[in-house]
Amino acid sequence: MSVIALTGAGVISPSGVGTAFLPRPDGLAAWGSSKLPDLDPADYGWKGLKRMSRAVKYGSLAVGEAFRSGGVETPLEGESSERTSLVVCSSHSNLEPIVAMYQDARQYGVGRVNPGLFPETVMNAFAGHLSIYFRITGTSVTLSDAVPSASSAFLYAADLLSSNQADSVMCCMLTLHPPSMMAHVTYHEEGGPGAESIVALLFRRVNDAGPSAAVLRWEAAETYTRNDCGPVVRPSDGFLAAASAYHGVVSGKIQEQHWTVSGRTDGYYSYCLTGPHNKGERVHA
Amino acid sequence: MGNYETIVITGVGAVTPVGMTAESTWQALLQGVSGARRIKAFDPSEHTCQIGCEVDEIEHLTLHPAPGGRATRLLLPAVEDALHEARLNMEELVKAERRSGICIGTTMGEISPYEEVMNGRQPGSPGGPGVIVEHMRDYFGFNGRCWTITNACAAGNLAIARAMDELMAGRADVMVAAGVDAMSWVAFTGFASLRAMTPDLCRPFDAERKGLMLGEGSGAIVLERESDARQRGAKPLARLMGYGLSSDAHHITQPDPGAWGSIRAMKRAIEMAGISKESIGYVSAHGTGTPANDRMESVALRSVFNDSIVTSSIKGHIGHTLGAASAIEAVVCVKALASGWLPPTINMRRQDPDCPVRVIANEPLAMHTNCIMSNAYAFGGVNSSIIIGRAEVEGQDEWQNQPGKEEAS
Repeated sequence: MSVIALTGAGVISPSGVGTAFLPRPDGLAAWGSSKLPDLDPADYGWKGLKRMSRAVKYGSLAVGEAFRSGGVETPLEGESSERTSLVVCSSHSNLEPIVAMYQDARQYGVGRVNPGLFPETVMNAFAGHLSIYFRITGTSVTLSDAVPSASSAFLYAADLLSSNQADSVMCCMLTLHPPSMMAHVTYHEEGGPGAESIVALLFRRVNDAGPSAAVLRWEAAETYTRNDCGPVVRPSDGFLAAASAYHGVVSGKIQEQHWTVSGRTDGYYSYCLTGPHNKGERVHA
Repeated sequence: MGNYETIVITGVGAVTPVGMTAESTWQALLQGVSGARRIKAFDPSEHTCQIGCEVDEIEHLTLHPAPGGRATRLLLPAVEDALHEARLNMEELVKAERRSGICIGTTMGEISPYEEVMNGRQPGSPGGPGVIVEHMRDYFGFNGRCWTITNACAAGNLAIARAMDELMAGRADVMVAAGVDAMSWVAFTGFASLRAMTPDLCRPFDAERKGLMLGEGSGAIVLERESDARQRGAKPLARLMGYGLSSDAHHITQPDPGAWGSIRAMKRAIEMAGISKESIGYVSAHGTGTPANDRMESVALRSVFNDSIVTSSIKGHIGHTLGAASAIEAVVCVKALASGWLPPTINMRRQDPDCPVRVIANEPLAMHTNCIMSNAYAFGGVNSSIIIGRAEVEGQDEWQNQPGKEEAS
């Protein structure tokens, strides 16, 4: 079993900014394929992002809110900066700039393509912007599985913490719809692309986490039974389920929340988030 | 992660513009062969720069029709060669209930389907970075956890690091770590838009270097715990000893001139390997041939090693193969450790005085070393260093002392 402490969450969802209006894990599918509302990060205190792409603006807002809810001041400084890592999950957030590059080349010629576009076609540019904005100088990794998976990201975070490569890990999942002309050539989950969301979760070792942290435990589930394991959520909704559960246990509405994430070919993963009262276990992965 | 048992490399494979296998690539590197020629993957006639390093006749790389697009077709034979050298049969692995996985590093992923759409055609398969792993899983039958890592030009090193983690954590018995990128209009046009491409030849560390040359290719290494490898009678080719990763938080495309992040990555790799920096005899440089990268890397190398290290970059031979670069360079490091030869930086005329490092220029250097560091850097300010050591050395205890569980956790 893997165990880490969840110490902060920031969410942009069809419901807006924050975790308060998130449905419980078994209600996430009800959003269908809704898109994110129009938002300005400056309205939430995150300034200097006007010229960034939609993904970077919203991602910075989500990560900023996760740091804020975890009581972490940003930009990070000194050892805190070096000991914080970033794990990003994104599968096709680079498609809008790719389409824009072609449009630029057709309009102005290949020699006059806007040089600001190409870096954004590189998948880890998103993490690079977050790294600069929040001054995160630890490990930065971008995972781009065909279907983005919370299980992979959380496992990476747990490894970084247990191997003492980091004291804090910010995990961020981008679920954005591809441009319509690319929709049929992008790999997507069964049942369609789902709703757009950007979720950021701040993890620490259980023993290092403050009193308000929640504890996330998960393990591979050989078999799935609804009674024991809670509702099944799609791999890409694993972050939303964790954020929803975090709001529930930290606000005291529930003591714990179970859910299961389908890892597709990797089988199922059974998750449990418990409130601040129960943090007796050591971190391991 | 609880298991710090030695991780060994038991097979290597590569497909590059100068060789269709790891061995032919290695021989071409020593002979100073360059893969630079006019681009064929797309019509470059409207581009100012029209040369790059491509793999010829990709359609002939596999005996059977290969799934996916150009990137998948580049990677398949490299993985096949690496598994073959490791004498691993995937069906037998599954029967023996051994867990196998693959970590793939890539910058652009399987981009050809996207480019086909943009050119008004209907691709036969989906695009994106993650589909390459899906094809590999289907083709080879990997039954464990598979990863796609898109840390741009350092993605190969990050894939190697993740594969090492999987083995050390005991979650896998065999891991393939690979990197791949195919020549694409987007990357070619993009680097041109940044004025980062050389109009003639790529000359890493040269005073008159004018930028990078885009390349394509793939590299793959098979990793196992040493005890597992020896138990099945495999001969380790080299040891994967450690890695270090960091971020600059400086600029989205430019490296930090102070090289602080790069220095941290190198020091972390040395610390994880449990060796002294003096044990490292050669650094396989990222060495892209851009003024900013080579200056930054020189600052980092001087800071960590003073004047005691020799270095070179193979990007003059094969161009910058992006996510494949550090995977191919890992293969080259294995060959260098085994052969006692270090590959040169070709196209060097006069070394840049702002890059005061000992560059192996134009001719290979005969030098046995126990440990090699390989660096890779990327957009987004990503820094990565890995350390590969000889499989068998005398006085092993003196130079290798991997940290125990207690020390590292």
